[in-house]
Amino acid sequence: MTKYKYILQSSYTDGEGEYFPSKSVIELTEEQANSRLFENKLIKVEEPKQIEIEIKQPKQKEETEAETEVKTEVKTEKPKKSKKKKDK
Amino acid sequence: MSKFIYNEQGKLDLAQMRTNSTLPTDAYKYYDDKLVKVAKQELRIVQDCVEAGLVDNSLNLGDTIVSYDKLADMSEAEASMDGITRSQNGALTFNQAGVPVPVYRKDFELDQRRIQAVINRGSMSLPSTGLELATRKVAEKINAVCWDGFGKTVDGMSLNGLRNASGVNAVSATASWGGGSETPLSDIESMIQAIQTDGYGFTENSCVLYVSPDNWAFIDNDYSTAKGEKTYKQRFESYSPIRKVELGSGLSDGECILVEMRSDVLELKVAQDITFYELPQVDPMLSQFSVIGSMALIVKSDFDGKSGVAYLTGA
Repeated sequence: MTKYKYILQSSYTDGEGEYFPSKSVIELTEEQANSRLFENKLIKVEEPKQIEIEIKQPKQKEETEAETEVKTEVKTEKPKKSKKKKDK
Repeated sequence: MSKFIYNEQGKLDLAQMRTNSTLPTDAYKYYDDKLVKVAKQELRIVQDCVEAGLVDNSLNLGDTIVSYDKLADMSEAEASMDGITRSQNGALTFNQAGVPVPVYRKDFELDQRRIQAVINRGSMSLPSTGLELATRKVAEKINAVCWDGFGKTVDGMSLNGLRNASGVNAVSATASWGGGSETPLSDIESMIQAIQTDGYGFTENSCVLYVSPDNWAFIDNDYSTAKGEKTYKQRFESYSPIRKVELGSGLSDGECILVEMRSDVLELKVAQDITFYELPQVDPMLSQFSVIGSMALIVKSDFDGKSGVAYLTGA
């Protein structure tokens, strides 16, 4: 049986005489936690959830567009340089 | 025909209501005696609260919610020889809490021919079974609410019982009593220890132990075959804080509840004591009556969630 962690809202003494003070964390099965003894006396400790992050790869089309843009920029720069050379 | 009349305190004015009702005065006296007898038998928690002075009668039937304060402790007092050293100012911290006050009711009827026989012949052969049963049903419901709470939320406030109020110390029994491997004394000691760790149950004869009906016969057994002179019930009552052991009518099998009868642990708010009255007559051959009561048992815990109540299961 799977056990879950709970925070006690009152003290609890188990069948073997072990005393758990209020606010302590105990492990109980779901059946034990739902028993009449623990009604209004437990708060379940939620396990931290694993968050999956998807890393999206940039699409190929965009890449090609970016490349062409760079290329065009280079092309446009070239005549400027040539102009400067001419001025000199 | 009677009608509802309320007195200045907002409670039912029974004397006024009964003035022009169907039953003769003697019949009301007879019925009142029966009602009180049954209510006393059944309502042990209410009776214990009355004995311990934990009843507040200031409510009326118009009070649907009653509020109280959860109080935190003060810092320590100063001890010095000169008496000049001032102590730290203790500011009380309150946390407001409240509970709804339910109304408990059970109706029953009497036929006019029987009532007329009583009036005309002066005999007291009025059947009391209906009243006794209705009173018992109301008392059982009050008991159930004292153990388990009201179960309905009013304005965000709920009435919890001795079993499920927050802060009530939970104890699991070592083994079922009467099974052969039981240790009832150690179970009761665990309950006492639980409330004492919370700062309650140190006063002698201040607690009442309620035992479920299934274990009521078991605790009349001798607790030791070697000694053979005391029953478990007597042994429980010889623990310093326990004043008496009572039958917990309405408790489930194997359950016990230990309560310190103190105003910061338990308080009974009464809007209307259990009583009965005649309903307005609609059928000339039939008189209808109602047993009614309105009260709320507040199971308190302090600001830190500590409580003078212990709840044992599995015994």
